[in-house]
Amino acid sequence: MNAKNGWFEQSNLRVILLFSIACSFIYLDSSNQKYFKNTKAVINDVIAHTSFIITWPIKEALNIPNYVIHIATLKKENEQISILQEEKQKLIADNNFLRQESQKIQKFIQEEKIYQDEVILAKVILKANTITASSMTINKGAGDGLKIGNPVVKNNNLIGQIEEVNYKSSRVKLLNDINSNIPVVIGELLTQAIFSGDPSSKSKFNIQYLPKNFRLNNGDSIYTSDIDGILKKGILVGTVSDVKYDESTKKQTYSINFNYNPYQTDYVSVFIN
Amino acid sequence: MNKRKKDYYELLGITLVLLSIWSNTILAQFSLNLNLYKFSNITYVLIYFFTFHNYKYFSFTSMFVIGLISDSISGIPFGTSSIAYMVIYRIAVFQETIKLRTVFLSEWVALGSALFIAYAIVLIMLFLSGRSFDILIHTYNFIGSFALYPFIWFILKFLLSKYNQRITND
Repeated sequence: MNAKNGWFEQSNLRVILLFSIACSFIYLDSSNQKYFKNTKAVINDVIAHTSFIITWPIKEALNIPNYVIHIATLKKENEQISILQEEKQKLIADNNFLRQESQKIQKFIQEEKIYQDEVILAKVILKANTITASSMTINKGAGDGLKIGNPVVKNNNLIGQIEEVNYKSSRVKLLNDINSNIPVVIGELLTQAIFSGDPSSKSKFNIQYLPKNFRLNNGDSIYTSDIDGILKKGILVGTVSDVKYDESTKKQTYSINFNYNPYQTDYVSVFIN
Repeated sequence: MNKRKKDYYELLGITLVLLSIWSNTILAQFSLNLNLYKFSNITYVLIYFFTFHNYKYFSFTSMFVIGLISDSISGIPFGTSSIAYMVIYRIAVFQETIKLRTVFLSEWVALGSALFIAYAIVLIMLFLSGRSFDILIHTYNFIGSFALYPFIWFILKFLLSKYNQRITND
């Protein structure tokens, strides 16, 4: 085996050297050393974009059956859309009330534009779901104004938080990551708690630091809280379901429902303010 | 022509290892929420298999680089996977050198020891870098990877022998 490789591979020096480099990388990475951080940002950018370019044709090839199904159903969808548009036009033309409503909606849309200005749209270029981390990489970085801690959303549903910012890419720590801890408010009383990833539990999430004797209800919405000063308040995290209370152990089990699966999301928005 | 095909054959090992690292991205649209990642680490098993079966592009340097790619994608401290991959590679080389490959059981037991050391190193590194981890999931993952090896061994041996046969016939 070794005969095939060069002198470096045959020398014992390589073992010591490569292990030392790997150990020093871990040390420098953990201690947030400034120069190493910059070098790592460049390496991360190169790996993220190269991986995206390499995996893109494979993903597209695997997606061909979906495209075929989509094309086959496209004609029907178009017909349905045109029927709906005709109905809409008739209703608008006949009803003054609807016209006023339409004006209100247009005003609302204009207000939404102001809201959209705080947001950056990003494409998901890599996804990782391992026992050590659950994350995704997006194609926007420090150059686009992203900072560590920025919330990442999909139609105002929280998906994760920016964990690491490179120059042209960023890593998003997903909600189910074991290191993810999000301050939230729950239910009608807006009870404060910490929403954390817990891969070993059935629901894969854990709601911590709830007040004693606090009982969750089915359908309770979970929203982000701005208590830590990093997250924007009022972003929907999920809704509580399947709540079961065990009287003997005084413990409650629950599931969390999400509107989006982050692993099937191609585009996300990042709040930058 | 034969030489070129032989090179493709040699590249297959490293390509499969890289694909296993990128598998989450590639297979995301087929996600069935089965969380299979919890129960095995295919990258470790593939590295062991291809190193043990003497594939050309497996070396300390390539393990180091692949480890950095893996760490960069998953976001754990740089160098953690590199150490784990290099340990698995070193044990596989040792096993291959002492010619135990004719006995599958020895190969499998050696994989167990390689995996145990690799998982222990990853856990120590995660602990030292202050990151949270779940020992139970790592244990499941270790057992799963160990149990998965005979299946992967059989499938790869079968497919590679068929492929090799075709090259020889050409």
